[in-house]
Amino acid sequence: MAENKMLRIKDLRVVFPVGGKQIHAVNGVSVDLAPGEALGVIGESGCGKSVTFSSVLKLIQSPPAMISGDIELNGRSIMDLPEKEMQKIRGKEVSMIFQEPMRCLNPVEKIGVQIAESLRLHEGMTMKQALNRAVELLKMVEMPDAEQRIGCYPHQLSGGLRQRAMIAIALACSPKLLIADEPTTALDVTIQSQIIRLIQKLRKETGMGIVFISHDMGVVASLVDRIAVFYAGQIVEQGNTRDIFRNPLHPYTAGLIKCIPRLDTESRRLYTIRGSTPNLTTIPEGCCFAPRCPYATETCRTVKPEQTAFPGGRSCACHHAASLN
Amino acid sequence: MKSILKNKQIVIGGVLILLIVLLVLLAPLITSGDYSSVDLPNKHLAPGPGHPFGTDYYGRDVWTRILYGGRISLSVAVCATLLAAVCGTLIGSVSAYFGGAVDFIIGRIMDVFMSFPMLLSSLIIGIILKASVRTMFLSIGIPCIPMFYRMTRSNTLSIRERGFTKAAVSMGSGPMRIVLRHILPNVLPHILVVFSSAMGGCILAESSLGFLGFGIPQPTPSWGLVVNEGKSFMFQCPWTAGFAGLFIALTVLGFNLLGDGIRDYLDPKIRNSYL
Repeated sequence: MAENKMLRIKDLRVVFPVGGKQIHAVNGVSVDLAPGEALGVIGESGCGKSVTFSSVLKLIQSPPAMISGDIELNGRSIMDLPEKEMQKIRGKEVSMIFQEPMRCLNPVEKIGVQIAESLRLHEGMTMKQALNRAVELLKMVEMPDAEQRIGCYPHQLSGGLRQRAMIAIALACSPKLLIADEPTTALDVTIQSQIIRLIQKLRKETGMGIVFISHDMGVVASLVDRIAVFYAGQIVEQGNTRDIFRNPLHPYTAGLIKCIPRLDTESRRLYTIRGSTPNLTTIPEGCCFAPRCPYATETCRTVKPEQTAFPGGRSCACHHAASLN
Repeated sequence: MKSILKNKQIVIGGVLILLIVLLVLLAPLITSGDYSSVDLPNKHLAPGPGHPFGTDYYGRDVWTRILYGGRISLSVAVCATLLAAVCGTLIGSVSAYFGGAVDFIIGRIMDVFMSFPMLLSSLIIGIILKASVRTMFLSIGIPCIPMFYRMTRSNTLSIRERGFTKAAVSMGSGPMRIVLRHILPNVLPHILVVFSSAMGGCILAESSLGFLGFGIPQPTPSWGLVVNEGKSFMFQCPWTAGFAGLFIALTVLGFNLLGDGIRDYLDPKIRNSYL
């Protein structure tokens, strides 16, 4: 079973020591991804979703961060790989796109040169070959006037075009896995849907796996096969997109789905989950969602729920998962 | 290349520097070439035929002394500042990028340097090493290193935290590549500003050292030396110090204009306004 997984994260824990306290950003996350699969990662700000997947590229500085557990890429553990080996993986096997396209492009370098950089680094191309390929890549991400745009500086492009350029950089060496860390959050709604459609199209063309991190259930729904819901550094529920939306097992997932504004109901006020995210400096004894959960019982506050498997390849960490529906 | 000529600051600064360098290089052709022989009967002559800038206390031709003096002053200014800029920038960016113990140790060494007045550190280096033109570069350049170090370090720290360095790491770039390709080009404008102001400081530092007897050995003139000699007779014959001072001022002005112009030229956002 392990052979056909491209990415396998096993009991990952990340702790940041901050001023004498410890922040438990990720508390035992286990998740895996088959080649070409698209996984949606959902959760509020600070729930550990970005930290988890930054760890896949070892972008978290350690020390100071304390990282334990295991991460395997194509069956090979990366936890003990030296930095030099990681540099070969980054951008080549796995690449990442970030939230702010403005800040993630070098302001004093032309777009074309920035796309060419990873081609020269990983594929050993000459500048001329790399620039030719850069034009192809920009056409692939549907950048209008690609030939002229490779000579542009980032500030000459709009937000949407910059994100397209970022995607072109990430896809330059045809990675097998693309980690998209809230790539549409900084964009307005119309551009957001364009970018999502673009990522869908690119996935079909290249067959790469995608991890799409977002806090917006609606954005993820159309794009991914499977969803993992993060809460307080843990995965509280995992399953196929369709199942999760039709029949959420965890009260938190149900709450998130209720939060999506709907056009077909009368209600004027948007639903919110009461309370706020827990302080991650201490790990609660029981279920981490218990203080905000409408169904919480005494067991929830004292006993930590285990991940239990449900039919259809789903899993959920909730004492009442089976009974709530 | 065409657009660089549309930048007025670069053109004016460049022409100014070019003129001064040409004058200094052509000194043997356009002066008598005799900058050291004493001619007491003709001391303190006002500018006039034969002596375009007049003569000094010993009756030496000021025009000749200034042009020959420029050879020392310009080369000290350029070499010492370059030395300081290259060392300071490299140390600063490495220190900031790697942080931790490396940064701490380098930082404390620089603090020690900065706690001495620049002239004092220059004197110490001048005393340790044998007097020569090379010692001059070192004793003026080394005390300037902390200036570039501090500026590069603080800018590197802020640029390191910007998204594109993180993005570059995630694309597989190594630390050297990130410092050279992503951090230094973004620090360069700041380096240029410090560079052009340090240039003037170095010319003056050379004159202070000369005044204290640690400069270029007599009778070779330098601009600072000519100013210092003329200073005592500022009211009887202002031309000696005046013309030498004018050359220093024009050189510093030229480098400042050039530095500012290049900084604007390198900034893609500003460059377009010249296109």
